Amino acid sequence: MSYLRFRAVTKDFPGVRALDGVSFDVEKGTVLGLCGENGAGKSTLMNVLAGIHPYGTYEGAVEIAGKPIRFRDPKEAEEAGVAIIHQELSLFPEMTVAENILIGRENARNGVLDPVEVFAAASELLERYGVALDPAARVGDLKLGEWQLVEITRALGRNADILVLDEPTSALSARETSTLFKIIRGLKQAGVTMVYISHKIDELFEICDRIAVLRDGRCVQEPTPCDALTREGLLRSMVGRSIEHFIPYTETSRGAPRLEVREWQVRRPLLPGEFLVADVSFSVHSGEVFGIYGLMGSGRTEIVTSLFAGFPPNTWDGFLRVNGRTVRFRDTRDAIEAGLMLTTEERRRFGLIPTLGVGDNITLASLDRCSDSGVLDEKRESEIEQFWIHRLRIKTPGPEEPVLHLSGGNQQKVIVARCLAAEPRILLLDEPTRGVDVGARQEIYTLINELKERGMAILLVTSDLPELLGLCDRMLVMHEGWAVGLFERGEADAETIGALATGNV
Amino acid sequence: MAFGAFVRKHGMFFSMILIFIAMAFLTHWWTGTWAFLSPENLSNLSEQVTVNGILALGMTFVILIGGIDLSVGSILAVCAVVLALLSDPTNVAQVVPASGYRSLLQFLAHPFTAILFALAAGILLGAWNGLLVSRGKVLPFIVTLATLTIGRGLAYLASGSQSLRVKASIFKVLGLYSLDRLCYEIWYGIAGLPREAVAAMAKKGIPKGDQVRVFVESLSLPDKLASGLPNPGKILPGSTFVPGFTVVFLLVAFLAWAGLVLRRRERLEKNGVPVPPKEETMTQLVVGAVVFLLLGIVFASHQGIPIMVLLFAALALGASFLLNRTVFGRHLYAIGGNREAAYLAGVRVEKCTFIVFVLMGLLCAVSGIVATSRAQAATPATQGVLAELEAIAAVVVGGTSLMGGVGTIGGTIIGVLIIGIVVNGMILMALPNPVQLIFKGLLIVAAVLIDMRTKRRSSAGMM
Ligand SMILES: Nc1ncnc2c1ncn2[C@@H]1O[C@H](COP(=O)(O)OP(=O)(O)OP(=O)(O)O)[C@@H](O)[C@H]1O
Ligand SMILES: [Mg+2]
Repeated sequence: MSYLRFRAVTKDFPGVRALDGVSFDVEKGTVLGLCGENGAGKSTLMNVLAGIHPYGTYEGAVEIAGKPIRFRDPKEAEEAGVAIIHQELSLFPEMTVAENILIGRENARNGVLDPVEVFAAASELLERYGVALDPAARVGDLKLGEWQLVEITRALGRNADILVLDEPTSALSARETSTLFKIIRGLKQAGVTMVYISHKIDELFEICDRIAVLRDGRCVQEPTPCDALTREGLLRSMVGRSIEHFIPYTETSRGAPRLEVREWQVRRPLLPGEFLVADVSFSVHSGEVFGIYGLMGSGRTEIVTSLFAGFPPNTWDGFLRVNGRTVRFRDTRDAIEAGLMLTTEERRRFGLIPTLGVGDNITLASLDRCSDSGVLDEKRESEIEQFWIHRLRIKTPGPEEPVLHLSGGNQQKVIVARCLAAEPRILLLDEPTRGVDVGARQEIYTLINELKERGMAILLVTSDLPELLGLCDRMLVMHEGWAVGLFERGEADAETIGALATGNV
Repeated sequence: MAFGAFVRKHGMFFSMILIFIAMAFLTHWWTGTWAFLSPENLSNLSEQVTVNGILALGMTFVILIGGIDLSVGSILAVCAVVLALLSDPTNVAQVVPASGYRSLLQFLAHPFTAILFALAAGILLGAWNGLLVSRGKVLPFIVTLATLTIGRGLAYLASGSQSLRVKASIFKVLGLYSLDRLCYEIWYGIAGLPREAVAAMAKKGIPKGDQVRVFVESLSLPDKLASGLPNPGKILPGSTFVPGFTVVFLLVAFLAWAGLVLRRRERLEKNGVPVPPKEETMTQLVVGAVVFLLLGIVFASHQGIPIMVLLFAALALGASFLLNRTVFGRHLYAIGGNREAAYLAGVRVEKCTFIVFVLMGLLCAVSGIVATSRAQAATPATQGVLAELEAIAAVVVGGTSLMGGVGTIGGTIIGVLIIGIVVNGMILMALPNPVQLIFKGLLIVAAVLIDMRTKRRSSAGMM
């Protein structure tokens, strides 16, 4: 029996038709996988369901258990049993984990909150879902993957009948993902209806009962049982043509060392005794892609961010040589002038400038190249913008569009474009393909290979094993702040690396 | 059709026009005269808004990066006092007891050193704010709240708590002259006065050095300056004041502006950058022409463009250029939009923050110099009091977000004008001060509400 029905849902934004008559049904107690290119309309459809786009701002109808819904705001949706794990994390950084988990459904007596009760309720939820997080921690101090766990716990805690998971695993590593899948299976048993959005095809086949595909706001494939689908067929209906699904790799000869890191340490800012990265040494050469793999909390993000002076100088220490010269960066500007550039993992918090347009976001780090003695040259600026919008297929009505109007994956492409437009000699990429669809991911891989051929030194942090094994010339495995293995390409397989990263050796 | 879109795009500008028209009718209904629309009043209005306008320019920068500066009024007062003190040795004598220090100050006292020291004082206080905010990581609200009282104290100290007059001619030029008066003086200074005029003035006992000034003043309509003359009125029968310089200036300015708009459009088009439709540019030019024409009529039928208004216009152009067309400006928008992300993209957040506060200090000094010139005196007790609120109000009414990252100089100027129009109207209607304060507050709320409403409708996004 179909429990959740979308009937000819159409949604327009100024200049864009995000959804164009989408209709399909989801059976009760099943998981529907929803996939499609960046900007296909997946998140928009779910936002309609969750009351974020209120009734009246879209056409068509959504029915739950045969009754059409008319949510005016997310609160009403929640009361009707719809919970959503947002793609763009929507937490309050100044509040604790517990407060975030319970926000909006605190048990207040006469409007008075009991912090002990909040703490206890949150701990109980965290425990029930097997999430190892301190309920009293400030969310702003957590890492991206941990944010995602808080977000998931919060949505799970709503005891919803319908649960939407919009790319819940984009920042999770294998371990947390399998925990989540266990939870999803449990919920399915309990009769919860779920919609699961992801760009990771393997995940879809693993957890979903049926898979539907959106393209350019239309449903191009009705929910179909997984057995009746092939990977290639799915990709074809997503992009509308057949594409090859493999990671390109170009053989290059390794050049001179560009970035030499010795005894690198990163301390936790608030707890000086504790190390996030402990005595890590490696070097990245010109013409190679050097991968860093690790689970959440392995220190992978901290290494690149601190190398780029993205943390306060008193939190990191060690020796750094760039092109053979010992350096100590005071701020990111120094790092950029030395030829480094970083894409951050957290696009919303540390990447996008929400008040600027798409174009201005792209050129922000390369303004020096489109200006003469500080005066901007619009022509050169717009050339750079157009080039990258086309190259990475950023789906936007134009360069002036506010960057927050873009879909999540397209926002990610903007961040990558900014970094590449700066034409660094040493490129630090922290999860550059997070939330990016297969087609554009292929494009980014091709670009990485091209840049490598031109002699760039590339440091790639990833939690995606295929990406690591397919793209990198050498790879470093991290576990809880320590470097636990360094491999040449082809020296290690997924099992070895996975075991090292989890500490099971 | 195109006009409708244009109005919607520049809603703020047209609200200002509506407020202007409403105020004209309101004052007419209240006082029974059209005094509000008289060129004299409008000229006066343009001078009234200049002091606040210059502050608001700097405040736009500060608010754009997500900061706030509450100390501008006090910094203005300090600079004004420093200016007045050092502009004249007799002022030094009036304030400082006889000592080596007094002799030193008296030795330094000269209008130009006074201006230099006033600017330096502004820069210094701005740098103090900037250092504490950028390096000290103290919230701008707190830092500038402290400077607000520190500055007022300094102003009292430096002036011995008295009002100090400025007498040098440069301050007259800056505070009281119009473009035409200045140009005529230069013209007659070089070309020499008509012989009959020299004779007439010699008969009245006007010393040779003052003759050019007195003659040019006599050309114009009687006004506050002329009434202070030994013998107001015309010196030569039939010699009239033709504000030709203002007319020529405005014409040239309009042509330059129109040329720039067109050339820019052409350049963008040639390079494949998307441009607004042709009708929109045409409408823009027509509206611009009307504005320049009205400005011309108003200023030409009074005394010509006041020098201080020219100064304000130049500063506004500079500020707008800085924000829109330079790397520095783009960095300010980035900082206000997302500080962390800007830092990771290589923006020197601390340095930019520091520079913004220094610029604010500098503009406080300029504003103080203009205010002092206009009043021909510096008054530590009242000068710049509540100026911070007026400047912040103008910036916010002009559509700049207090969260940072969004705002324009054009908007700020409109904000300054809206507040100026309302204040001017209320003064004309002789409303009591408390009533004026209440209306000013209500105006701010109304303007911001309307602005948010129109913006929300146009974005049609979530919420
Ligand atoms: N608030 C908004 N304003 C304007 N356009 C929007 C807005 N939200 C979404 N869009 C547009 O709607 C389209 C669909 O976006 P949506 O976020 O649903 O894509 P998506 O399928 O979730 O993509 P992704 O895989 O990148 O998350 C995009 O073209 C996007 O630019
Ligand atoms: Mg999405």
